[in-house]
Amino acid sequence: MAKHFQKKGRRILGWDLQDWIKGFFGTNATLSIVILLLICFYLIREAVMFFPSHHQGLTLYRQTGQEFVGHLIEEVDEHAKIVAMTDQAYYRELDEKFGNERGVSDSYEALLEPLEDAGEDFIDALDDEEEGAQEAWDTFATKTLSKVYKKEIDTFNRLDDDSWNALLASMKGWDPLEGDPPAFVEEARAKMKEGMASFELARAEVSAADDQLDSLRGKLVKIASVVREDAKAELTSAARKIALEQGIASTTDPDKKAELEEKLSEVKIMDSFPFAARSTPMAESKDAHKAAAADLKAKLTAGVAKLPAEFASQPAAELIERVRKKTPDVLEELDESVAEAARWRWDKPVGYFDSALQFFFGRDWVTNSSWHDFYGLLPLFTGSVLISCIALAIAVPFSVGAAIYVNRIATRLEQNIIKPVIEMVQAIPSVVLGIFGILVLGEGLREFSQVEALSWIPGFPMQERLNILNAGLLLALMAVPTIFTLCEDALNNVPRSFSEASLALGASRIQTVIKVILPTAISGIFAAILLGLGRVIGETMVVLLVAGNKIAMPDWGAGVGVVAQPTHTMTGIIAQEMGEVADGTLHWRALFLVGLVLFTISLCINVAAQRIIRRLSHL
Amino acid sequence: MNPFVAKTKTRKRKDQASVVIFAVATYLLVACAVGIFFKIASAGAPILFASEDSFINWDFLTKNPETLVVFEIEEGEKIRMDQTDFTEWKKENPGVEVLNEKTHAYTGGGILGPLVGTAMLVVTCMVVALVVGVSASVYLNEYARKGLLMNAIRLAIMNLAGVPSVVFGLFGFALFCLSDWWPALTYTINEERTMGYFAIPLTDGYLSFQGWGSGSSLFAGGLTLAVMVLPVIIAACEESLKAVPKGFREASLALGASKWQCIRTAVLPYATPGILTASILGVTRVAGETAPIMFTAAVADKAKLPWEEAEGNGLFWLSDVMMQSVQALPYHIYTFARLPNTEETAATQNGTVFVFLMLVSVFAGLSIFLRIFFRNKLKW
Amino acid sequence: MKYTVILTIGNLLAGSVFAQEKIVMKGSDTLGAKMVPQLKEAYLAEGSKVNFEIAAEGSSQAFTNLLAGTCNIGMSSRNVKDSEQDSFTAKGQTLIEHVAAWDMIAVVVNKGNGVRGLTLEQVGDIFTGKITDWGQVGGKPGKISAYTRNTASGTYKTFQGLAMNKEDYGSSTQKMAGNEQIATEVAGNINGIGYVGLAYSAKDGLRAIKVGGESPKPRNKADYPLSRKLFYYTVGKPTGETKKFIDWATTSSAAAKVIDKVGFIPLVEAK
Repeated sequence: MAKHFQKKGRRILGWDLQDWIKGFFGTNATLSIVILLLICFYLIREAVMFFPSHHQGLTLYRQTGQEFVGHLIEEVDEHAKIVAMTDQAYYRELDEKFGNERGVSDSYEALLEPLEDAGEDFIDALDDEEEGAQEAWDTFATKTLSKVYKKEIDTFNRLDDDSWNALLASMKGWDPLEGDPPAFVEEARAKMKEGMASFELARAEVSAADDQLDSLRGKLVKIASVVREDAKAELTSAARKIALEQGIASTTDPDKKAELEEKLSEVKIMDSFPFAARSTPMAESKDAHKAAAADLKAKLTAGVAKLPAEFASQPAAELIERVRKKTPDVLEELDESVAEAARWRWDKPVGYFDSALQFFFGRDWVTNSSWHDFYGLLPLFTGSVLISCIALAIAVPFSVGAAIYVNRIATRLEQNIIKPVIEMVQAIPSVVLGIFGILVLGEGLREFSQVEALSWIPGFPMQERLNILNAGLLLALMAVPTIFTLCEDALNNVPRSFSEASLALGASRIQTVIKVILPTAISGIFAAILLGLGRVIGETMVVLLVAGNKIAMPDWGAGVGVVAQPTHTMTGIIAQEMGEVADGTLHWRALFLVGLVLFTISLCINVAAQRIIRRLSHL
Repeated sequence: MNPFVAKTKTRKRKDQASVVIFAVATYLLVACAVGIFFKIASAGAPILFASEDSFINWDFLTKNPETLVVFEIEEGEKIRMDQTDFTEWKKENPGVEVLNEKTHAYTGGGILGPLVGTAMLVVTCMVVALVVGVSASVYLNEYARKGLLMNAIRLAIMNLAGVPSVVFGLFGFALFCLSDWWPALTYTINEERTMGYFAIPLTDGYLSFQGWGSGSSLFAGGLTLAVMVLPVIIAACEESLKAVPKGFREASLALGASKWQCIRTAVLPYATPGILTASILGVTRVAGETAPIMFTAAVADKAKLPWEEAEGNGLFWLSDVMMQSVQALPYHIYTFARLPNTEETAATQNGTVFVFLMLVSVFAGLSIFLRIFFRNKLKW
Repeated sequence: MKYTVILTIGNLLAGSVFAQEKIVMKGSDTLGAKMVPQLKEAYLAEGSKVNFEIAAEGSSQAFTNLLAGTCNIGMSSRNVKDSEQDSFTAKGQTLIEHVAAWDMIAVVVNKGNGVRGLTLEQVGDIFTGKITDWGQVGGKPGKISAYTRNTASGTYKTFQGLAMNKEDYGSSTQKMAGNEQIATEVAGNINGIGYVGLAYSAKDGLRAIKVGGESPKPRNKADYPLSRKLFYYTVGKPTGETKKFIDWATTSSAAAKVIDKVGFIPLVEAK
């Protein structure tokens, strides 16, 4: 035996067998470290390169004057919100006062559809005044109309039966060549018009208040877009020239060569793009902008003042109330925005720090745009955090509770069943949970939320089946095994003597658990929750499929009901947009930066959790 | 004064009430878990199991996905047929008039392609991850001198275990799919790839450095998954190695064994159960992942299995197989998630989900079983 | 030694290997989710032995893959962009465009919603986020849920050009991965609105509304404001199996029948 051990192997390149084996293991260890370093390197390299390109993009945005126009766009959008509310109020009021008339008018349009479709076949015959054409059409029209039922057409049930029958009767003589509505419909329309005249007038005034600003916006958007295109072409012209030259060199087809050469001759390279000259229209519009804003202000105030004070419909009254309240705010913001726009200068440098902030705190993520691509992390980050919070809020009580039950209360048999079952949850692939969320949970939640008796719950009834709550519930399930297992370990680590002492003092089991064991195990439980958070925030497929993919800040006005809204997440955006972007573009780097943010978050969470766990094991 | 003393009766009631609350929380969780498994099984089982013959619908497991045609010959009687069968059938019955013909992409046939693809991805991944992971942890645990550096490395590896899988996908896509300097055995050189000029001529082809095939490939997907699961495997292996009592090593070395002999005879055999359990758990995780293979390996539709399509001989063939893109079960389900789930398509979709869940659960169950089994058996 | 073992295993596994031509098609979901897989099957049924591989994540994918040389045919529901064209030029390649079929982008709403028609401007305003409530366009009051395709999609871009005056989508729009997903969501959400290829608009619970007074029906191809062409792209003139397939798919009446059946408008009359 001893001899066997002492045998010296052959030496290859000065290493004996032992050295080679050690070398093999060592190489693999190095390899794995290298791979892990590579991950960091790749992520950081691509992500860091985002900042200069992003800065460049923002500078271009400023230099082309788009930034100035951006203010106008925002102002017009703000005005549109007021208009939206006024319009809603108008139609609600209309429905309340003239529901039946509106039903007549709408149903007429609806009834027209099948007749018009079929009418085309009859028109030629009618046109030529063929014999029997008129009768054929009449029979057809009557037959078609008699087959239509009120509830199919009048989805809102606005119409009473008498009006419906009157409408049908008046439709029977309808001539596909004529096309004018029957008198009955005209009457209803006239009545509506008359009854709503004053509201309509005020509404039109509110809506038209931004005409001047909007036309200025339209004009400037066009100019700025052209400047942007030209500037981009200019900035890439050097690259384009090289590309074309390479193309000419690599092609053998003479026609193709000639074509490319012609293109090449069109490429002009200037030393610098004349931003100062090209952005003059924007700079010169500052006064026009002020004037348009003042015009908007005056007209909007006048229009809002003219809105009726009394309403038949309660929601309409509320909406107009909100309009009245919101208008001063909008006007104030308008002033600020105008002042801000007046400060715009094409040659003011964009700060590097500012451009970085724009990524981390930007509220827009707009890609593949013909205007300007915005990369703002905030809505995605908020979405991820919101979903994770909900997932943890649900998962933590359940899994900690289950851990306590299994560890302290359950019988041996229960333990042997419950533990594996909860562990099996970990095995459910996320894409399976995702499809489950779409088909079963989403549909179920929506139906459940539509139960009349539950409509007091904020966010109910849900419109969307793909929303934050749905994703949060599924992720809660995914977090349970992690939290449960680690919690149970933490409870297990509490020395027996603690609980024995507590029980001996006459405490009940629950008192022991809550007052003695939980405080002792609390840091372990905290670590478990942290790791659960790490698992939830990094999950991709469930949120991609179930969260609803709306890239916007949640509407906090809904309170707790915010959970019924769709959102988008950091992981989701990578999975969704990675397939489409070309290597090395700004968008590509933005996605890598999002990846790096995720990487950092999960690393921090893990380090914190590991530290807690290690400190515990030193106890 | 004893702080715990209270009125016995209310105390007892409180105690019981809270026990009930904890029990309810626990059993609600269990019910959710069982409910999901049951729901998926009950929805998916019908297509997999038949009431006669072999009791298993082998067609579903041995055919590739294709389009499903649903049509009627007589009003109200729906007939389902795969596209290929339908074309045949039409040739044979040219006179029959077909009513209400509807087609559903990916819903006909079976799921052989995705099954095979997932299996190949898992095998590729586990081979790499186990070789690298086990030897790395052996080195870290047995050879490396303990110190700050080793601790830092170990900590770094542990922490990477929590990094989101989509980040690994991002990384794998950039590193394995886009880089054009990965070596591969090929018959031709793709000169567009810049590194393509650095090809080493072999007897009947080249060892060329032009990257791995068509953007997505088994190589790229397998390695991305391997990188993802590597930290998990290393952590688990180290734990198993650490659990082997120091005395075993000392005794072995004292008897004059060399380091390698000591590891081979006195350490590894006792660490194997732990490593085995961990790697099966790794299989579960790897097989279920979608995000890392979305960009690196998977395609929605592929007519042939990777080996049917590969060209060449011997190693060249093997290399070509590994450079093929594949269908994969999770990605197939992702495709389904974007298609409508109607009466006509639900059976296939649910069936696929069921098969996938079963496969993954079998591995997960196995790892749980093994862990309990070994824990009861191995005590020192 | 080890090398020989692997070599032998490899040789054993190799079995029958014949060089077979393969057509890899990547790009648009509008084409790739329904039409092309079925064209493929019809094509194979006619006796061809070529292998197909199809991936459909969005039109942009077509050009990145054509450029990387990783597909033979790019499917796109929009024209190639200048910037994309440039990168091909740089490599001395020409991109050849083949019209695959006509399509109309149908604007769909839930059947339970009373709206039957909108003007093009209203449609645009809904997707840019200026109109947020159905009450504003004459429907039953309720917050509009607008579903759009994701940014990789050609439909996304085409729609932006045709209906939205190239303005950006409002941030409240939800981005879906495919036509089917939009159809499903709108069919389930009474306040939903979305746009899909014509082929996807015939679904229970959906109504394809009139836009600017024209309904999306094949006969209105010329008048309907949201009509567009679908394309196949190849690098250089197609050759071999690729050429055969494209010729078949764009000119044969068998292909036209398939195209018609899945709900697009073929270039040649289907018999």
